[in-house]
Amino acid sequence: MKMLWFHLMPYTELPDDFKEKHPSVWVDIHSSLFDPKRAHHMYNDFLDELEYAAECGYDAICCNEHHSNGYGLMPSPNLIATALARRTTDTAICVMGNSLALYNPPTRVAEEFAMIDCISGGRLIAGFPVGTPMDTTYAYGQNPSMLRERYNEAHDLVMRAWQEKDTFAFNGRFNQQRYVNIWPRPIQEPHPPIWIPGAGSVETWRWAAERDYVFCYLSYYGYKMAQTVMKGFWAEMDRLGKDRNPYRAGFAQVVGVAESRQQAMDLYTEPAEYFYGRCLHVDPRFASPPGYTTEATQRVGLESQVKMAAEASKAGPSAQQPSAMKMQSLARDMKGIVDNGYVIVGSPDDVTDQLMELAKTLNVGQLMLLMQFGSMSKDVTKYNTRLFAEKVMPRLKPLFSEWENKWWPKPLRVAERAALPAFAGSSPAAAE
Amino acid sequence: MSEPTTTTVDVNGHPCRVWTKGSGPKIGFLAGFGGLPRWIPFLDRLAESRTVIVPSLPGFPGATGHNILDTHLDWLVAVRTLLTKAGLDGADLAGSSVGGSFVAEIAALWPQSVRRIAMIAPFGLFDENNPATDVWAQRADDVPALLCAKPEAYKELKAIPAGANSVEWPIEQTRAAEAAARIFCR
Repeated sequence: MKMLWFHLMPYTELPDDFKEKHPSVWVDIHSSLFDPKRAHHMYNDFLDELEYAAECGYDAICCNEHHSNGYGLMPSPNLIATALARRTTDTAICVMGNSLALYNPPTRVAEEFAMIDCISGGRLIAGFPVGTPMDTTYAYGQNPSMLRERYNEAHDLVMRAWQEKDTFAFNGRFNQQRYVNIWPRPIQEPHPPIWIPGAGSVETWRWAAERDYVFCYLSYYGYKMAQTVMKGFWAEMDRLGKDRNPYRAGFAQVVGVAESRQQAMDLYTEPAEYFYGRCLHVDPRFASPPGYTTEATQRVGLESQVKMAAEASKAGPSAQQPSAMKMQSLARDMKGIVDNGYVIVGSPDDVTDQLMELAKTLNVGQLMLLMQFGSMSKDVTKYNTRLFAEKVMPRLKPLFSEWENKWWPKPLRVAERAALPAFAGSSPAAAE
Repeated sequence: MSEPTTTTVDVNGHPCRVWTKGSGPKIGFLAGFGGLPRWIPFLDRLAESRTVIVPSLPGFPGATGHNILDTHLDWLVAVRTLLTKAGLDGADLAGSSVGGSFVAEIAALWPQSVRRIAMIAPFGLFDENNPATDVWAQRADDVPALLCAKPEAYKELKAIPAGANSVEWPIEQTRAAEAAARIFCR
């Protein structure tokens, strides 16, 4: 099993009354809440934490893209990934990812990802999210009605730009470029592994599977709530004749480990309540612009609601599948967060057992761990990261060893790589 | 309130519903944000002295084809085709919201095709110092009062009719909001 250490880079100092006084953490969050001098420390702490995770032996370190928000301070994950490429040597760098429809022209993504792949010596995992409605429609002014078409076209352009050997002309519906010829070009052949974050859309599963990409379910509501989505995903893989290789799938899980369950509750209650209460406090008016969700996906959702309502009326209200809004309302305090399985907290044994169950029930080989969440301090993050690496990671690593992970970076051999950093120490020899 | 007669015209290979009612000189009406999921009393008043012709814009209730229209010029040509095929060439035109903007633009680009226009709260004028309320970024409960002085009337307009498909009806309403967004923003 691969274990990836994923940083969302939240603004960690939103006020205690944020939820009461501010309608949304995204889109129109007020600038007076942002202190650049504090952000200087936050960014540097976050980079330290990612670099520390690499030192601790996590298989990859991950970053992602969001705009106009206090939930994640990475409008450009590529800047972060480049900094990490210079400060780490063997860990894969997962950019999860670039929202293709937001780049004009999209060849910018092909270029910047190729730069990261070159600088890192072929360690890049290239993620292509559509992007949330808050980021794409509201913060970046994209029409949701055209977002997926633009995304699809941008994807095709980026993939051609990476793979075609000669300069070519691209005459698309949204992008016209007479000369496509990117320099630099990625180290990994034919291209870096492609991972697609998504949710419960059958169309996304199918699209990813047809291209042999990894599908990542990035939910913050834990593996118990994810069973239905991942069962649907694997059923669709069966239908498409794809094997059940667990490395086809990724899943994000919030984790807090300590010596005992009580100690874990003491350490992680505040950051977890901050994460669910403030970082995910999004005004519902930004949640579903018309056109963002395809009609096919709307139809599946509405049909299942009708079906569930019918079943619930027979079985009673508790049988209803919780909606995202309902799930959010269950996360008011740590008891709700833990009881509903959103966060896995406990001793190394507790956490190992739950992650074993997660891996087996969801059949997920690429486990993305959120080990800094909400307002968690640098010291607690370091502790969580280290203890997990020492006590949990070794027991999970052998899982799925019978499967080949075809979706992992293929970096240059160590002997082929640059020494980093070349001029450190008193003489060039000290760097060797 | 009797029902109008319903016909269909083809615009870019997609069907668009056309309602007709009344007698007298023709007047066309282009609906606004969300389109017309059902006939409304306002059109009955017009039909007392006029032949009221109500073509549905692409993607509005009763019509598809919005998602092949990328630019505003694509839209104007499609609307011009729709009006002509609905028999409204040279007629009076009225419109509300996005429909109001369209009748003005059609009159500006093809002056011979329109006799007189009437606009009700035409959508699309934009002052960046005082931006209009974003109707596409609202909680569902807030929309009726934002769009209509009588929120209950708006709720009645959008309420699912007895016997309608409970899955397709909300999809049709969402499609109409999507189509309206596509008219002004690329």
